[in-house]
Amino acid sequence: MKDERLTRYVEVGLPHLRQVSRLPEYLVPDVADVAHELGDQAMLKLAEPLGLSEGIKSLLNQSPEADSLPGEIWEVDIGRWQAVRQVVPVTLALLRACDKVEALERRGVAGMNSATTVRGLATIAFATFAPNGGKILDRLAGILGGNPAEPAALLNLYVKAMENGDKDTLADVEECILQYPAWAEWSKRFIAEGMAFPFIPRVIGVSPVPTGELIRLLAAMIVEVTNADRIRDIRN
Amino acid sequence: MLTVSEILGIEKEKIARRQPSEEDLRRIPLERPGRIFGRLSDPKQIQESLQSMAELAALVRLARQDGFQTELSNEEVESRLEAIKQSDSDALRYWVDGQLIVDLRDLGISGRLGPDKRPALAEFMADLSRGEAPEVTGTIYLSSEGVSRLSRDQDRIIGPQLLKLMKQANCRVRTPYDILNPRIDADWRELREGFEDAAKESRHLQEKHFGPKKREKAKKGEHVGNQVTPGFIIEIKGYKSNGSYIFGKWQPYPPHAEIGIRILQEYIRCGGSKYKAAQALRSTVFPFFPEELKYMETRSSLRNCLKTQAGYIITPEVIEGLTRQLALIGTWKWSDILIENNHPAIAPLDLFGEAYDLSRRRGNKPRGRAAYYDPLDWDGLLRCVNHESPRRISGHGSDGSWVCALDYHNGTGPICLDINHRIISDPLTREFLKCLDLSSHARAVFDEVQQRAAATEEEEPKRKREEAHLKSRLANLENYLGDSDSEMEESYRRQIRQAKADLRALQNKPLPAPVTSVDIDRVRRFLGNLEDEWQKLSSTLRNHLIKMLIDHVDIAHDQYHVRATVIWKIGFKQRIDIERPVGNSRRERHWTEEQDSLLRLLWPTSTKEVLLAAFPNRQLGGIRGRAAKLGLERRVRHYPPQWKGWTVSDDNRLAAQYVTETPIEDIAAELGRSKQAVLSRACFLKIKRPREIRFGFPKVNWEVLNFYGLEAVSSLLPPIRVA
Repeated sequence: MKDERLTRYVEVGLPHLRQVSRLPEYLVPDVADVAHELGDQAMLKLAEPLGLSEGIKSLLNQSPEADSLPGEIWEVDIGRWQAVRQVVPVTLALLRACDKVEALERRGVAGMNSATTVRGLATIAFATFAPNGGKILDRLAGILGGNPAEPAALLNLYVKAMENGDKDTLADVEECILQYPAWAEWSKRFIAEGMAFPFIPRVIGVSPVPTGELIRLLAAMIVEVTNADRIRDIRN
Repeated sequence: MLTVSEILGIEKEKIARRQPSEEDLRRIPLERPGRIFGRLSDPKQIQESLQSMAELAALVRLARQDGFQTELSNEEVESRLEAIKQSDSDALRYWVDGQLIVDLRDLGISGRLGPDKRPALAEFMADLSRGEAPEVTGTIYLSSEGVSRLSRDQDRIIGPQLLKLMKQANCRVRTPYDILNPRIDADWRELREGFEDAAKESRHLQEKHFGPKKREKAKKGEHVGNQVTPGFIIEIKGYKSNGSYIFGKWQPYPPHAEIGIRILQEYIRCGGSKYKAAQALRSTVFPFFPEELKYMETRSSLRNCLKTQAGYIITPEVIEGLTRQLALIGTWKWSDILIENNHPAIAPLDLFGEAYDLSRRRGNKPRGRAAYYDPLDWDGLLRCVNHESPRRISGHGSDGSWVCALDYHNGTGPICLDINHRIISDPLTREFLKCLDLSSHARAVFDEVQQRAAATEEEEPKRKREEAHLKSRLANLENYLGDSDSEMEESYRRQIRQAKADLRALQNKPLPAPVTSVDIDRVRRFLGNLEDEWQKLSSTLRNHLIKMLIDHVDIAHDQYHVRATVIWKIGFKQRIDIERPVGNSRRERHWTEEQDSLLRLLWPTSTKEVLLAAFPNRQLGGIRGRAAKLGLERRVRHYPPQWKGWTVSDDNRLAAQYVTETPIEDIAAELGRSKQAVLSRACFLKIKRPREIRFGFPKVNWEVLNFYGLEAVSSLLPPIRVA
């Protein structure tokens, strides 16, 4: 059996992070599933270019099992993390940015290719929480005309530039990221993982109350689809 | 050895244990109260129908003969009834006489009315609802007209209710000729038929009573209660003794007659379209009747119309009705009676004739065969908020469109919205499914599917068992046939018919579709990727899920945008801004005055590129057509650039791109040629553009704004304190 301690840490720690940061459960509800799907290896590989991989490994070796840690310890430690206050604003800004980019792409006026957009948005969002992200965030804020202490506003500015067709600014952001080998490599791996990912994580999860009527309806739906598939198979 | 008295005692016990016989059930229970129930439909009948009133006194006598102990003498009872007949305000309509209750409070109240308006019936029903008890009425005395005294309910609700209550309370129905108990099957049937006949008779009585009088009046060309055509009022000939009007013939009413003529003229001008005519007459109304003609408000057919402060609105229905109203040319028509020159005409014959002919020709258009269309997704949830109060948007499954056209149908405004359903439904469905998270219900759904599979497996043997049981019962019943007792014989035949019907129903009932076994992973995948499976589902199930979770969708719209606000039942909100694609319908492509002016300015000298830039949503062919219609001419000719030959490479690029979704304009731009050149070359090379691309649905663009409930949260959150 694989040793998935990091994955387990993410799965167990996420509810505590949500509680401390006040991030509701219905926002980005699939984070735990994404971590589970990625597994320790992929997550550590992703952290490697930023020099975080070894640190995480040694911490994991020293730490007890995630499930054995009491909730209070989780919450105290997460509370000490300076960037925790940015979780909600950055998540919201990122969700809004994704909706906006999707709309621009639907209209065919996104202006930039998807990889560039993902690189820009992902770097701004992740640099906020990465221990060594301050430097690149300062530079990106300079390009976008914002404040590095407000990464959510930077994401908004990035989308604004897309809406305005400000290709120069977007190209400058891209160039800036690629000038940092660590972030260039991280974003490359991030995009590659995203492309290979088997499902699209949900942005928001509205989960209705499982009434008897709803469950019966969903059962009827799956029976209908399965029977239709079976009939198609027989006909073929 | 038993004595005779002991033997008799045993026999008596046996009798007591036995089910009551019909004779027992019909015996009047003197230990329980009896109730004399009187009802006459009309207050006039109380004075005029001497026989009916006399029957009530006879019922009291009958009750006494049956053994009820009373104290009042016959004379006293008759004098009380006489007081009622004389409309004496102190007359008693309800009294208790020993064991007998006499309830005459429903005299003068129609039997069609329910217990809410009939105190005697209400009390009787309330009494019976207490069940079989010593203080509950055991016998109800009705006159020779039977249960019609209790109810003539046209909805057939009160009759069966009464029957059930009487059966529960073991209450007999006593008429001068019969005693019936609903606990006896035959009596139950008879009483049920009695209620049914009473309901039918009520209608028949009305026709019988009023029909001939009405017909006589109609033959004279006088008003007989039908709705008065706009443009007319009714002449008042006099008053009846009770103060009601005696009406004569219809008379023209000039303020409305003028409008009637305008309506006919407009109808003809609009080629027989009642909707177009209603639109054209939007600023016109039929003024309200003045105070002295107030009685017309309830008698004119305008009473059905919508009203504004100025008067009655002219609806398409009013227009259509007028075009067929012979009254406008002075002809009286009632049922099969036709009287020419009955009253003054209000419309010239030629005008009416033309409108009538148009209406007849349009009305005779054969209807198509009725066809079933699946309801559109989201049907019944969309509300148009472009009005003072939200209005439901109708989904037209036949042509796949969402329509808000109440104003148009009422003749009060244009069609508000008529849009291809996909422009709204596609973004709504996409965003709905994007947010919907059902993965946590996988286990419950899986268990439900398993249960269904088990139930389906059990269904077939159960069905076989039931079938075998019915067949065996049928065989047994057939053996009993040939009984000398005709009642028994009839009973067996009835049971055989029933068993055969049950068997047929069972055999015709389709077996439930077998449930293909699914594993939990399949259920998880299904719930996680509902968007991919959505189109495979029937519209019924899709709509069921949507309606279960969505409260409503508010639609605000203009020519270019649709803003949909999706309100989930759990309170979550989504706002979706949809760009309306440029449609090809005439209404959306209509040239405005400004556009025509711009075209007049540009057409003589501008290049093709300038024209296309000036009218971004139009094609050159359309612009050229409009210019021709406006009689515009080019003053300068713009020759195309020098012709250049097609190379093999060009042809290959064309062949590769022509079958894809790439717009022709883009292909033309890439090849450095005109759109026409690309089309001609493709035709020459016999390259065909796929049908779904040629006639593809225009791409819908939208933006979504989910209201996460955290909108106030900014990056400057207050520091979080952790205990």
